[in-house]
Amino acid sequence: MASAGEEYGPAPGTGSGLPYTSKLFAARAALLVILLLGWHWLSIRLGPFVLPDLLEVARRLLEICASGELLSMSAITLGEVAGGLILGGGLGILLPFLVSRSPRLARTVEPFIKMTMGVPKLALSPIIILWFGIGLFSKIVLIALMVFFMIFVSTFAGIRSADIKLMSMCRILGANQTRLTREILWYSALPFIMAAIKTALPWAINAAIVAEFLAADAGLGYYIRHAYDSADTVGAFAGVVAVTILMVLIDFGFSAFQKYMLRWRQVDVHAVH
Amino acid sequence: MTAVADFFEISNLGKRFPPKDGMSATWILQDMTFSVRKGEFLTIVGPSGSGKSTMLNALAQIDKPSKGEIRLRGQVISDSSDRMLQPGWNCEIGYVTQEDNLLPWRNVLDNVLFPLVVQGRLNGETRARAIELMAAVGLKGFESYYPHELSGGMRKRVALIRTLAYDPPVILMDEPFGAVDAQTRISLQTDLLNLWQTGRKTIIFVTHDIGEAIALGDRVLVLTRSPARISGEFPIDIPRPRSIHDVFAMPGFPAIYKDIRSKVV
Repeated sequence: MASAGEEYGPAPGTGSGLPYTSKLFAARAALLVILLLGWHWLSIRLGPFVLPDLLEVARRLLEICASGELLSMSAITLGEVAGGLILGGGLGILLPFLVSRSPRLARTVEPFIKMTMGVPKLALSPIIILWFGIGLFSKIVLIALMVFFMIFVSTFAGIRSADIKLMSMCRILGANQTRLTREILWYSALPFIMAAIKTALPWAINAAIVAEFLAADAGLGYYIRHAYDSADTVGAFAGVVAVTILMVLIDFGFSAFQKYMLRWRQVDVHAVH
Repeated sequence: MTAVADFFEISNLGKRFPPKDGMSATWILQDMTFSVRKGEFLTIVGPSGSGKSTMLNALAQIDKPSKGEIRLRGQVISDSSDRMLQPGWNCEIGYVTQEDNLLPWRNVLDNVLFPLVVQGRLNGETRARAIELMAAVGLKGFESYYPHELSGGMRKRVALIRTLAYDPPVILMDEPFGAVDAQTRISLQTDLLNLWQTGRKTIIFVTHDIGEAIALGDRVLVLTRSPARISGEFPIDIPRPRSIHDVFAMPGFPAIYKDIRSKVV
């Protein structure tokens, strides 16, 4: 009777799960040390102006960390990213659901969406700054443009991946059109949406940095630009390292969120995340 | 009220799919006429690929018949005219398919309660009944599991209980125990017999397994190979309540098995 799990023995590889994970982390730590040593060696070879010393960069990072500057700059950049994601991602998720209500409309707009995907959005950033000014809003618009297409196309594909048999079954069970959308289409699209946001996040951060680079008076991109302008290589590298660390942290946080949202899915125990 | 004999009627049902790649349209089902009494357990046995699923899809209104009529309580609910298909006919026709078709993002309890929720019929009473049914087939303790965490047999049980829980007057079953091992199959058949014994739903159960058709049914219809037609009808007099193990040992069993066997070509 109680047969749940009867087909699953311990998954291969999980029996020795802990040693494997610790080995993996040891290997990663070793690689990190090698990379840092490589940086140190290169900066000695190339001179501090071309590649500043690792310790100098670390010291600068601690400084701006202690002064609260790093936090306030990150907050500004992240605020732009969040705004852009809400605007671009929101539309990128909502529109496919509206469009998919009419297959004819879907077929009509699809080639245009694909075409506009090819537009180099970053190249438009000066125009966007011209239109929307150097403040928060122009950054939000640029980021929204950047992520909208990625999320739109994935959401669209996700909706199309919905299992027709499952839809028929839900109608038999009494679900109306709204319920089908909320239940089947939404959950079929969710893994696609999550993967698209994960891919879009680094792009969004990059777009924010580029926009701040071009015209801004605050944020991490502005800090890097300002450092370049005053021939402060250490500052520029500190900014780049800060952005990189921020990206890693965001990716880590989002992965956890993604895992939670998709907890109903069978996960491949061998996949390395 | 119409006579009980006319509860669910299928007359001259035919189905063909449109021509494809230069092939002419072929009939999958032809001239199917049969009826099911209220509370009857009808089993239909036919070879694989004989159009059994096609027939049930037409009865469930997932698909439109090319010919004929389907009537419930004397009312025509589906025919070849261009009336709109209404899958499940306002939740009056339940369908347990070959694949369990559970919602992967809902846990066991939420899958079972799903029809009640979307039909706006979830209350203390229906909920208690659903939980009682789950307990009857050994699903107690698995309420918060997701479908992918369950074995094939357990998923079949969830699919079965999901349909029984909202209590449609007619239930169609398309080889619901096809893809499980022999032991699990017997235990699923036992569960179904016990549940039917207490509820006496009208069931149309399709299978390619002659033994299963005899063991479960009040009456067995035999289908020919494509285009599917009815080639025989066998009342099963084995007394109820039945036990799956005993059915096969009943004195009349081998004779009727042989009879049906000869009709399945």
